[in-house]
Amino acid sequence: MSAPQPVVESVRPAQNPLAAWREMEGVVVVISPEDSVLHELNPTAGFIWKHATGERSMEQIAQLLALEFDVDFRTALADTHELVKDLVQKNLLHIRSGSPAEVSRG
Amino acid sequence: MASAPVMGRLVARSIARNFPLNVHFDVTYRCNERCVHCYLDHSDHGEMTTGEIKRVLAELAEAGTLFLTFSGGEIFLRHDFFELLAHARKLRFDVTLKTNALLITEERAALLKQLGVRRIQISLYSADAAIHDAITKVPGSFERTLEALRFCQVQGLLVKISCPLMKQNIGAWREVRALADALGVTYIMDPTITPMMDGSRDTLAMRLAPSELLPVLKDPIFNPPAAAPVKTEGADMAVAYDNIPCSAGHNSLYISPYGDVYPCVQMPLATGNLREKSFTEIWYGSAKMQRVRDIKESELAICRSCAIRNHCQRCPGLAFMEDGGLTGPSARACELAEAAARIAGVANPVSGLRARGRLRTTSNSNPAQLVHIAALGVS
Repeated sequence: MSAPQPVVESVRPAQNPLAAWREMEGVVVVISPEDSVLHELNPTAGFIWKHATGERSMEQIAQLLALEFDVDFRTALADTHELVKDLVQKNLLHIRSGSPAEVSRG
Repeated sequence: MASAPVMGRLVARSIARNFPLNVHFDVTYRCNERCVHCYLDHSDHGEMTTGEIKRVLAELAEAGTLFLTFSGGEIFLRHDFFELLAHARKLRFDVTLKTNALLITEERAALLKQLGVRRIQISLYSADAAIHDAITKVPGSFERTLEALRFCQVQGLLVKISCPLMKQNIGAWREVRALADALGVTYIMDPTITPMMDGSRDTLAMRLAPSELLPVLKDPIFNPPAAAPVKTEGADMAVAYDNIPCSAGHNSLYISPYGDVYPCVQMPLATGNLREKSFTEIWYGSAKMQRVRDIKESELAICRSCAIRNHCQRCPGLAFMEDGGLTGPSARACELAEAAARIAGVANPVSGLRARGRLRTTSNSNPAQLVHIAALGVS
């Protein structure tokens, strides 16, 4: 496994395609492909996971999170940053770098 | 590691809501081995097409299935198997394969890993090539299977040896366990031999009598304390299974290569066909499926008052298949429960069927005979 890349707002998190996952009654569970650990994500984490498609930047995900959970953008961005960092370390998320032109500053 | 309690909650939630969490999908009954104990008709009577299976997989993903087992027959005999597998992984199922591994090459093992297959269960009947090959009726199959197993290991796939126990290989169970340990893989040994799909009971001639199974049953590895599931999966799992016989029809099901949906691979109760109805219509709308869900342990006619119920692992499917009733006792389970109770120190255990004079076999209660039988398992 390569060393985790630094997580910055402009990167686009993407689910590890080798991970298996499902959502059941609003609870997302993800199976880590390397160690077979079953992870249960809370509603906030599950929301971020589902939007980590590799197409949205962390800022864009945080904006959606702020709307969905009625929190301010700074809090949503901090939550997104923390979760993405954690899931990247667990190799459940990969991060894709995008050029500044590709990243919406909305 | 939080995985076990998480699994407990997941299973509890799926049983409470009847989410189809686990699906066993036989994609073919064709096979390149001819195992003496096999219950299948290996002819192709109209397997679902690639497109039909892909549609079913999409429906299962939508319905919440996470754990998907592809089995057969021999799965790699389907020319489209890797296409189906890629589709299943695209839908983010956690995929387990059951195979004899004869068709797994080094390249194919690498492709399985690349596609995200996590677990592979490989049938191996003995550590003795002659015994294994005599059961599969394919000369050289032992060596080929073992070679493929190593290919899978090299790729980092989780490999489990599956070893059904029968008269032909009972003497080899210690060696199979030692082989699995030496290879660094897990194993499962299962004495369940079922009647054939056409109702023929010829295969039951290979089934081990409880007395023959005693050496195996006495091994703590195969005879864990009753409380073990609670300790490993958490209280949620115990609550989930309270008063239901098993997961069949609750959060687990079986699909045949022809699209028939059953509560379990061992419960021949067809509840609908996926060529005629959607999965959701069958799973949530079938009266037969609901009938299975409605069965409560406390309502089982004879079992509920059985004196050795705590030692019993009655399979509703086997009870239905062999004894004719979903809610009645299973003669096989009664026999094995008596053996398990005896090992646990119960003097003269009497199962529900025997108490009613309906168990035809002997109870094997002679201690001298037990000592002799136990010695048979020591190599």
